[in-house]
Amino acid sequence: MVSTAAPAASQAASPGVDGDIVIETRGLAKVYRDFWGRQKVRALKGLDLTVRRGEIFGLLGPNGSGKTTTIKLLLGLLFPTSGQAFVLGKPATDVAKNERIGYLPEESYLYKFLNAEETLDFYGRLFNLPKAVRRERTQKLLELVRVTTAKKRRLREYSKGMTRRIGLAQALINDPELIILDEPTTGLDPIGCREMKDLILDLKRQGKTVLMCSHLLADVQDVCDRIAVLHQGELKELGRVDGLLKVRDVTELRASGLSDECKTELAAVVAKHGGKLIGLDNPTTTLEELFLEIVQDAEARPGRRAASESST
Amino acid sequence: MDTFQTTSFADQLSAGLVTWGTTVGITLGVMLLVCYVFTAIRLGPLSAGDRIYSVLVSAVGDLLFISPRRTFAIAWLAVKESIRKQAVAGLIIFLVILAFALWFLDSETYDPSSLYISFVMNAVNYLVLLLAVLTAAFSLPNDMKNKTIYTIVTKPVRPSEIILGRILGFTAVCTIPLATMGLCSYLFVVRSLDHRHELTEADVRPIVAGPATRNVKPGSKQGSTSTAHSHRHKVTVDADGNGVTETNDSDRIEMDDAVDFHDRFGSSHWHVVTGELRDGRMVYHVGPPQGQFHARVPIKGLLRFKEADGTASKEGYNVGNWTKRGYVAGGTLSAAVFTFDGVDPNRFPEGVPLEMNIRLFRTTKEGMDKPIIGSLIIRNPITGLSSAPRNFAAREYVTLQQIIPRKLTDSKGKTLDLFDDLAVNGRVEIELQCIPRSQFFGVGPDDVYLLAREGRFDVNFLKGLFGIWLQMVLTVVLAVVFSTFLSGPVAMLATAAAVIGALLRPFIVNVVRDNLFEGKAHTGGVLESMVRLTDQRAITLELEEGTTTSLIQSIDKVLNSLLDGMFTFIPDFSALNDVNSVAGGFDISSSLLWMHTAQTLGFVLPLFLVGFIVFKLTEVAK
Repeated sequence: MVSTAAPAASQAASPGVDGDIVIETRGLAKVYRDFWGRQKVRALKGLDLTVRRGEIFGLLGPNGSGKTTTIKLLLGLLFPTSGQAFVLGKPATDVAKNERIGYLPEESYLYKFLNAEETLDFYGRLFNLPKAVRRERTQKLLELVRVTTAKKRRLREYSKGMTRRIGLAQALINDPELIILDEPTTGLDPIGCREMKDLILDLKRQGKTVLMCSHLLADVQDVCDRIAVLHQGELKELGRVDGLLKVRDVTELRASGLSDECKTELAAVVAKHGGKLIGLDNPTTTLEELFLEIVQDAEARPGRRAASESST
Repeated sequence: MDTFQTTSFADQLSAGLVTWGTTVGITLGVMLLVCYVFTAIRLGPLSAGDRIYSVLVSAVGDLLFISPRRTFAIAWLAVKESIRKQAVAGLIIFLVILAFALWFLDSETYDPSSLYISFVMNAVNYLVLLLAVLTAAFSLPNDMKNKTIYTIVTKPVRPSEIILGRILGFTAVCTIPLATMGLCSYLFVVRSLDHRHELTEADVRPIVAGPATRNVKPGSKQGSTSTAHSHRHKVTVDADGNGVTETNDSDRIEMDDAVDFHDRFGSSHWHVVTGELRDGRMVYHVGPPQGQFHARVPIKGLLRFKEADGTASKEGYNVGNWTKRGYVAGGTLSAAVFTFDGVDPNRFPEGVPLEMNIRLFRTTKEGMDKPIIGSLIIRNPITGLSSAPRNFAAREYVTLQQIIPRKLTDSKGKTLDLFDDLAVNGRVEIELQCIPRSQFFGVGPDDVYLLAREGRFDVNFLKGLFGIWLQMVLTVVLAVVFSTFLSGPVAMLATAAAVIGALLRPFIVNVVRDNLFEGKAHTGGVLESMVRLTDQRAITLELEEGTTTSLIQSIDKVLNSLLDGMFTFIPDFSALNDVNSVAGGFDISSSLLWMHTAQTLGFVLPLFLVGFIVFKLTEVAK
C-alpha cells in the first residue's frame, strides 16, 4: 500500500548540535492503517529517545510493545505518522544515513540462492565499496563469524545459527558507526549467544554505538549500558542498566571459605544491628555458565562421558 | 507484404518529441495532483504541499545520483536469482517446439522460407514475452514477502537504483534466452530449407538444334534435377558440365504470348551446377540453394491513380476489400502512377530493378488459373516522354521482379535512355495498367518499389530479433512497475493484460474509436456487445429505441472514452514487430529501427519514473 505520509528528507529540523547523539526521536508515533485508511493499531505513541555515541542501548518490551516498529522507523522502512526521527544527524528517511549503519534483522532475511561469499560481496557493492576492499572485508568477516569453511555453500544449506552469523557479517561489511540488532541472539546456541554478546561488547570497545532489542532479558542485562522499556507503544522506563537494577535497601555480601560457625556469627551480627537476614546460602551459577563450562571441559577432554545423574 | 515507413526518423523525431513531452508532462502532473489531494486529506493542505515538495526534491537527487555499481549489483542479483531459481524452462519449451515444428511446417508451400521464418520468429516473440512476464513480475513482491528487501533498503541504495537495477537485470536475464532462441531459429530455418539435388548423366539430354536454341552453346545439355524438398529444377549445362538451374517455380508459370519479359519470382531459388570429368564420365555437382533468403532494400514512390477516362484520382477503385489498396480497372485508361526518386546511373548502372506485389480482382471466372496481363510505361514526369508499354503477367501473391533496362524504346521504336531521357533529377514515373477488360489490379503505396540493393539476410534476421527484444524490454519494465505496488500474481496478471493489450492495440483502438466518433462503423461498445451476444442479434440490426438502449449506449460511450484514454498509455507491440518484413524478405531500415527504439524509450522512461515514485512512496515494511 502506498503511504501518503511520504518520506520527507528535508522537511524536518535537524537534531541538536550535540555530536554525541547518534539517534534521536521526538514525539515519534506510528499508526497502522488498513487498505481504507482506517486505524488498525497505534503501535507507537510519542516516543522521545536519545542514544549517545559509544553506548549499547537496549529496547525491551513484550510482544507488540513497539520495539520493532521503532527500529523500522529509525531505518526508514516505515514512515512516521507523526513526530521525527534522526539517525546520525540525518532524517530517518534519508538513504544517505545508511552509509554508516549496519542492520541485522530479526530473521536475517538473506538471499538463500547466494553463497556466503557472494552475499557479503553483494552487500559490499551496495555500499559502493571497491573490489579490493570488498574482498578483504569479506575474508575478514567470514573468519570473524567462523563460516570460512562453508563460504562456497549456498545459504539455503545453512543452519539457522550459521545464517544468523552471515547476517551479522553483512551488517558489519561497511564498518558501520551504528549497529542496529533486532533480536541478535535468536537462533543461536549458548556458545553462539556468548560469542554474539562478546562481539557486541567488542564493538563498543571499538567506539561503535549499538542499538538492540531483545526478549531475552539476561542478554540485555549482560551487554547494555542503557535500556528503554516499552509497553503498548509507550516508553515506560529509561536509564542505565546498573542504576535501574540496583536494589537500594538490600546489602549483598559474597565471600568464600567461610565455616558454618562464621555463618552463624554473621547471622547474629545482622540480627544485632536490627537487620533482616534474607538468605545465607551457597549461590547457584546460571545455566549458561554451567553449559559453557561443560562444553569447554568436553573440548579439553574429548571422550569423557557423564558417570551418573548428579546428586542434588 | 508488410507496410513500410516512408518518412525518415529525423523527420518524425521533433513532432514525436512534442507529443511525447506533452503526454508525459500531463500524466505526471495529474499523478502529482492526485498524490497531493490524498496527502492533503490526511495532513492538511500546507503540510501536504511541504511533503510533496520534499519528495520531489529527494526524487531529483535519487535520479541524478544513481550509482552504477549499486545499480549493477541489483541487476546482478536479479540475474543470479533467475538463473538459480528458475531453470531454463523457456528455452526447453522452445527447443521442444522446434523439434516438432517440422511435422507441421509445409515445405511444399510456395514460399517455405517465409513460412518457416514467420513461424519461428513468432514463436520466439511470444515465448520471450511470456518469459519476461513470469520472471520480472514476481521478484520484487517476493522480496517484500520474504523481507529480503529489508537488507537492501537499509543500505544506501536509492529507490531509483532498485527499479533500474531490476529492469536491467531482468532485461539481461531474458536477453540470454532470446539470443539463444534467435540463433537456434536462424540455424533451424537455414538448415531446414537447405537441400541438395542430384544430377546424373542420365538426367540430361543434348539440346536439339533449332530456332529456339540458337543462343545455346554447342554441346549443351538440358534436363531436370532429382526431386528434393518436393520440387526439382530444369537445368541447362554446357559442354564442360557447368550451368545454373532454373528457379524452382519456373514450371508453374504459363507464359502468355503477350508477355514481353519473363519475370523471376521473388521467393524462388536456384542452384549452381558444376561438372567434373571422372573416368570419362561427367559427374555433376549441384550446389546449395541460392537466392532463397532475401533482405530487399526498397525505394518507395508516391502513388496516385487515374480514372477510367484518364482523369486524375487520389484513390483507385474500391472493389469492396477493406484494404489500403486502390484498384485499377482493366481495359480502360485507369492506371496507378508511381513517382520514384533516386533513379540515377551511379546507383543503378545495370538498369533499375523493379518489384511488384499486385493483388488481382477477377470479375470473370474464365482463366481463373491464368495470370492477368498488365503493362508498364516509364515516363518523364516533366516532358511526358514515355516508353512503349512493357507487358507482364501478374499472378496472385507473387512478387514480380524485373530489370528496367537503361535503353528503352518509345512507341515509334525510337531509342530512349532511362536516365538521360526519362529521369529528371533522378525522378521518374512508372504507370501501371491492367490490360483485360473486367479485371482489376490492386496496388498500395508499398506494393511497387525499386530494389535499391539486396541486404544481408542474417543481419535482417538480427534486426527482426531486435524488434522482439524491444517488446521484451517493455514487458520487463511493465512487470517491474506493476510489481512495485501489486503482489506477485496480481502483478503478473496486470502485466499479461497490458501485453495482450499491446499486441492487440491497433485493433482495440480502431474498434473503440469507430464507436466513439460519428460517421465511423458502429460495432457497439462493451455493454451493447454483451446484449447482442446474449440475444444473438446481428450487428446490422439496431437495438430497440428506449431508455435501456440509451442507458447502455451512454455507459458504452464512457467506457469507450476510458479505454481510448487508457490505451494512450499502452505501447503498440505490433508497431515494433518486424517479423513480417523479415519473413517477406524485406530489409528493415535503420530509420525504422531508430523509430522503434525511440518509441520504446518513450514508454520506458515515464514507466520507470512511475515505478520509481511509487516505490519511493511505498512503506517497505508492513
